[in-house]
Amino acid sequence: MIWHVSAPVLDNYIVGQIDRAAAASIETHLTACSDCRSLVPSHGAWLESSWTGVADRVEPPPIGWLESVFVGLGVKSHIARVVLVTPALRLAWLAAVVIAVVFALTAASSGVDEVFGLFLAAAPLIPVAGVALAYGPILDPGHELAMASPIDKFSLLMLRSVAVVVSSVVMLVAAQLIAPSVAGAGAWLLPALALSSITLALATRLTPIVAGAGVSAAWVALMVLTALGGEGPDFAFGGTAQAVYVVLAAVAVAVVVAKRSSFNHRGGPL
Amino acid sequence: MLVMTDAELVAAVADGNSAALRLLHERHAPWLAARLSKRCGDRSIVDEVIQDTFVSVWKSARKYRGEGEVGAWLWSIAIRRLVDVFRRSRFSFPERPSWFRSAEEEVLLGVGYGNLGDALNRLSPELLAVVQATILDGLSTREAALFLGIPAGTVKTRLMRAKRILREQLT
Repeated sequence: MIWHVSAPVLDNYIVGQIDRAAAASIETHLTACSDCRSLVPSHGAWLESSWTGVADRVEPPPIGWLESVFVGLGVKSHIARVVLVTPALRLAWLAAVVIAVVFALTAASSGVDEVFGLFLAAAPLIPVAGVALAYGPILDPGHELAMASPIDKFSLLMLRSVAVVVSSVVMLVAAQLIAPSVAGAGAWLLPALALSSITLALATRLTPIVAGAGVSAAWVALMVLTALGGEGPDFAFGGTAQAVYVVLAAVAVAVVVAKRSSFNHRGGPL
Repeated sequence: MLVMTDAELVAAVADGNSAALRLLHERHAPWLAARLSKRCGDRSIVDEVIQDTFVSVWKSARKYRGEGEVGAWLWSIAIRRLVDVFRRSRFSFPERPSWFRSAEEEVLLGVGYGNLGDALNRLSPELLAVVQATILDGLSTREAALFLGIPAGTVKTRLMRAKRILREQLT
């Protein structure tokens, strides 16, 4: 290089106070000279916002470790993502479930029947709440992502509900392993599955939150009436009752499968 | 720490290194934006073109063969992205780019430095715009036509006329 652009000349170029021939010389020089390029003033805020715009289009969104595990197991990445962004599958939710159940079981091991009954009554509501919150615009920051993903609503709700029910059940079982063992503490499992299925069946007509709230209210009412009627825990959790839950779950699943088209209907509840 | 050259940064970008792209952006976005501003008065379009440029660098860094200046390569991408914007919005641009008029004013002022500069500055604004787009900015006839909003044939005849005038003035 024989010459370099002086700072005042560069300033004149930038504000346009220079003739075309000189501007052309400066531009040709800047193309090749990194020293003179570095003289061009750069505004930090502008550079930052410009880079943010580039980065948004260049860097793929970060993939969570759990998602990469799922993808590694052969699950398609878009399915893994819409399932994993389910509100009820957040770590905070899962941790809260474990802590609540550990406390409940610890209390139940005190031998006081009422406390144990309270645990049995409350446990089935956990997966119901999970299903109710599995899908919908209110609590789901990923709802728009879910709407835009190439999965129909029915499959999405099924995938998420299965994920939620499975993880809730795993959490409840894990909590039972952590807490002192109590005889009959697994009696909540079939009611939980029945209530979750009924919630899903109602979700063919109602929004999942309304369905979940209704099912929970009915269950709580049943528990209160049982207690007021002086019935023992066998009434709601005994062998006959467990058989009823199996039947209810089967009917609810049949309804869900039969009504699956209503999930994807334009005027559907979701 | 060893400072990486631009060519090394482009090679790293080709390997998918976004930190290298950020360094390239930091080094080159300011002067590219300044130069684009001379060709497009709308600052928001310049900003958009700068972003488009570095997104294209990300996608096409493999195509850089290490020949010639990285700066020249980046400029060739940037000016073509600007042409793309003009092409997309051709019918919503009722007036010519704003620099066109300022070039005219400059020529009317008749400032001169040396022979070639003097000759260039005395070209009529239409001819100067064609010289600038084709010879200095490196656009093809077709791209220059899109950029200036005139037919490709007109670009060719104006360029021939400009060359003839320059030759006459320099001999």
